[in-house]
Amino acid sequence: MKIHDATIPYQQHTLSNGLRVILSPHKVAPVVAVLVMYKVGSCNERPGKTGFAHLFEHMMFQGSENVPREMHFKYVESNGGVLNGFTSYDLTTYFELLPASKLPLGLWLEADRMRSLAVSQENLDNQRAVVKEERRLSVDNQPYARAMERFREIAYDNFANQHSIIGSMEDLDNATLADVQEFFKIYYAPNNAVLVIAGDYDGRRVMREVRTYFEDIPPQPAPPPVDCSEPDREERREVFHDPLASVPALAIAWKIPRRNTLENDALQIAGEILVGGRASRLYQRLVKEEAVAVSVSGGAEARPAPSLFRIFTLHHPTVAPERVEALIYEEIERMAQEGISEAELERVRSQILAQRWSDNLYYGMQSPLGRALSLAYCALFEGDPGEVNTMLQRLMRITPEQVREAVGRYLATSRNRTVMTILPGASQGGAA
Amino acid sequence: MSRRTPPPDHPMGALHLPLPETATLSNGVSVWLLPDKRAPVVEFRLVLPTGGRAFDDPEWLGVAGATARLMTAGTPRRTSLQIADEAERYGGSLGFAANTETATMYAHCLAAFTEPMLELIADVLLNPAFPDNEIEIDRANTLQRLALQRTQPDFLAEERFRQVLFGAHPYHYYAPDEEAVKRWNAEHLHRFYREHYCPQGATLIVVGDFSPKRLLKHLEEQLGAWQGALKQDKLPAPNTEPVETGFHLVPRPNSVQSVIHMGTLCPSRHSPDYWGLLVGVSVLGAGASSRLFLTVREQYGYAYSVGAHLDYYRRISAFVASAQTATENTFDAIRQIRAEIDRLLNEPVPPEELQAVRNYLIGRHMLSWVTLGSIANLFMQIAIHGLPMDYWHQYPEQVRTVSRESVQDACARYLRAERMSIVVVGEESLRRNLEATEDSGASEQEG
Repeated sequence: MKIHDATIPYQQHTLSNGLRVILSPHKVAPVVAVLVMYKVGSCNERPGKTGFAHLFEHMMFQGSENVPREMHFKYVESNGGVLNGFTSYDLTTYFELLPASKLPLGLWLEADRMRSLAVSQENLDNQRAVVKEERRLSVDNQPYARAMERFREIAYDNFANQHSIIGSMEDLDNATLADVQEFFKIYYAPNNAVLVIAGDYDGRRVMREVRTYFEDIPPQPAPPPVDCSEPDREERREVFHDPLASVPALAIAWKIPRRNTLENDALQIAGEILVGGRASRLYQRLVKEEAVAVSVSGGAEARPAPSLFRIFTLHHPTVAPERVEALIYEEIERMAQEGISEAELERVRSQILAQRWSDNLYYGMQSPLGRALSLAYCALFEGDPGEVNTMLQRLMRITPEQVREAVGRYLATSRNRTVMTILPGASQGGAA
Repeated sequence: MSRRTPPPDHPMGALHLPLPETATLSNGVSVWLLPDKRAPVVEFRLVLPTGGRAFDDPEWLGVAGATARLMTAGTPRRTSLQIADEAERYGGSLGFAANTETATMYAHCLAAFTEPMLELIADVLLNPAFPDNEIEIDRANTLQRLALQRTQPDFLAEERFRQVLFGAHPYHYYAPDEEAVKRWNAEHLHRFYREHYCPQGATLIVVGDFSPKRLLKHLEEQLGAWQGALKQDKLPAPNTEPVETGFHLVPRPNSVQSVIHMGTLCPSRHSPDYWGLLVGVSVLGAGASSRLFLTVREQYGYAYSVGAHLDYYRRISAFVASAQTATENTFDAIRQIRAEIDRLLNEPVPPEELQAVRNYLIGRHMLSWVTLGSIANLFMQIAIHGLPMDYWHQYPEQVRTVSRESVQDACARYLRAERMSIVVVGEESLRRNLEATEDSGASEQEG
């Protein structure tokens, strides 16, 4: 298989204020993506301020010096574009996907809010209410979602990694306008961000336009570093009673090294072979052969910080969770002892290449937004947008022996393991 | 260049869209081919016009869905594991789904594996074995999945919403009947397959990096042996008025939020009223500058996710406005959604807003031509709904020429308050308030 076909071309520039600008031409449709990624996420939050990075992301749509409230949406959509933003543990991203001729509009909008956020108490109160509804929608009113939030708290030991992105209702209530302004000043600086333009743009003028809008935004002192390191520890177990759930579930995770390490790469491959799709070992064993589980999912996270290798399975109420857990460990032990076959590795390589070419708007190479996101991520966290290309080469070169070793060292052990049994219904003696 | 005002406007570039090459295989399968080398990938879609839930025997609800799920459960030559393993080895996936009316096959692969993928598709499509052990696993898991779905508020809302709109019409079938799940066997699946998975009326869409001439030859070789007579099954015409209007509560214990579906029946995409209706519904609830987003969310903070859209069936469509809001805001949110719908009926859309919405729809349409999978899905819509082949080519012009009068006329005809069915999934305690609101809503209508 030809990997070089899947190389994403790019050029990199750095403005005098420290803003990194990455250009990636891709002219299959008259569409262009403008994306700004800031190096701030929930891991930068402190106790009592959970959910702030995400609440702040909402505030970035509430007006800047020359773009009144609501107008950000209206400018983009009335020009035939789509837009959004999202917050993760490590980063916050904003993007517009626009008809090619509207590129300057996207640059103007992103520059205006990087330079000058203009928010009021009223807007903060409103977005706080919206985010609380988002929390109810995605967590409090859904089966298993509260359990997964709690799971993360016990799977990690460092506060930076433990708490949820959406945050707690109480902390959301305590966020002030002064917090918003301080957060903006510390983190939303050109030297803490990457701008990517991907798709159909005019290579002769694009950098001139970028400089016009962005170059005189003043830089700020580098934000305080965040310590995301994780100590080793013994196994941790918990039972969670979920009144919204009807099917029992089991969640298991191990702490593993960050992305862009041999270990994380090897565990990505192991994750695909263990739980990636219907041919995977755990799906075949749990759902088909033993018929104990309804579904199984998971795999290795790839954060630029200590990550989790997760397995989540819904199992039949007639089966004891201990049995499901034992079967999972049996498969992991087998992989640690006997390794994987060349045939399995070939299948996973095809899948990795196919995911690369996927038409998913956010991570596939067919979409200019997918290209922009990958380039921004690699530039911000690995200091090299080209890591998006070398990552693929790295993954393709992982050997069966490297997978076996990584599984033996990180998964075939109770060290750093977290196990949560999720039972439907309220706890005994608990509130109905 | 001033940074106080937005950059000078440039018109959107035109999109040059291809039309598929069409052919008919010897057994009657329509083939639509769109060769496109933007990515080394090939997308396959197959539309079987009567393979969907609406064609289930009412005694055996869920057989259409089980047939689709178990199409990949094995053939005389391949086990389910071999099918999954091969598809993944080709950098792809292969699966069937039962929709309201149609069954569809979705498959894709890396272009280098197009021919073996086609051989796999043919084996699965022509020779499903529906093995007993796979049926037993699927049965047990379907029962658990049903139990899970009945804890999910969106599922409960959609299920009841279809019941109140369509009453007994087969369009309301949404989830399998537990009793039927416990009883069906391989013979039920084989029969459904024989009667509904037939070459006659089937459309195969292939988009991506391939040579049409060579592919067509392989299609004939691989699929030519697919035979069978389609059961002449006609659905009764759907009702055009919702069977039950007014409020319907689906109690869900421990809810901290209400899921609201408000909607009614509207004409299909073939109707002359369609374009005015589409633009009107988009003014109301498509995107982040729509009226519902700006009032219900940005002004009042009642909801994170709020919007309105049309769900399409072959012979009708359904208007749906939906929101999720804290239990205590349920009635305020409903009132606000109603008020915005009424405004659409009572006042013409201002010209700038109309232009903005047209641009939004045309721009979003342009984005659906960016990836091979979404291009395949556009043509699948044409096959499912029997739309003209140049439907998407005409789309920008149709949207551009919608007048404010046709928007208001269509909305006034179809979105009147007395035609609305409102489903709320949430706390049982809402019931008393719902009844009170219903009374006041009715008196407001009269007053």
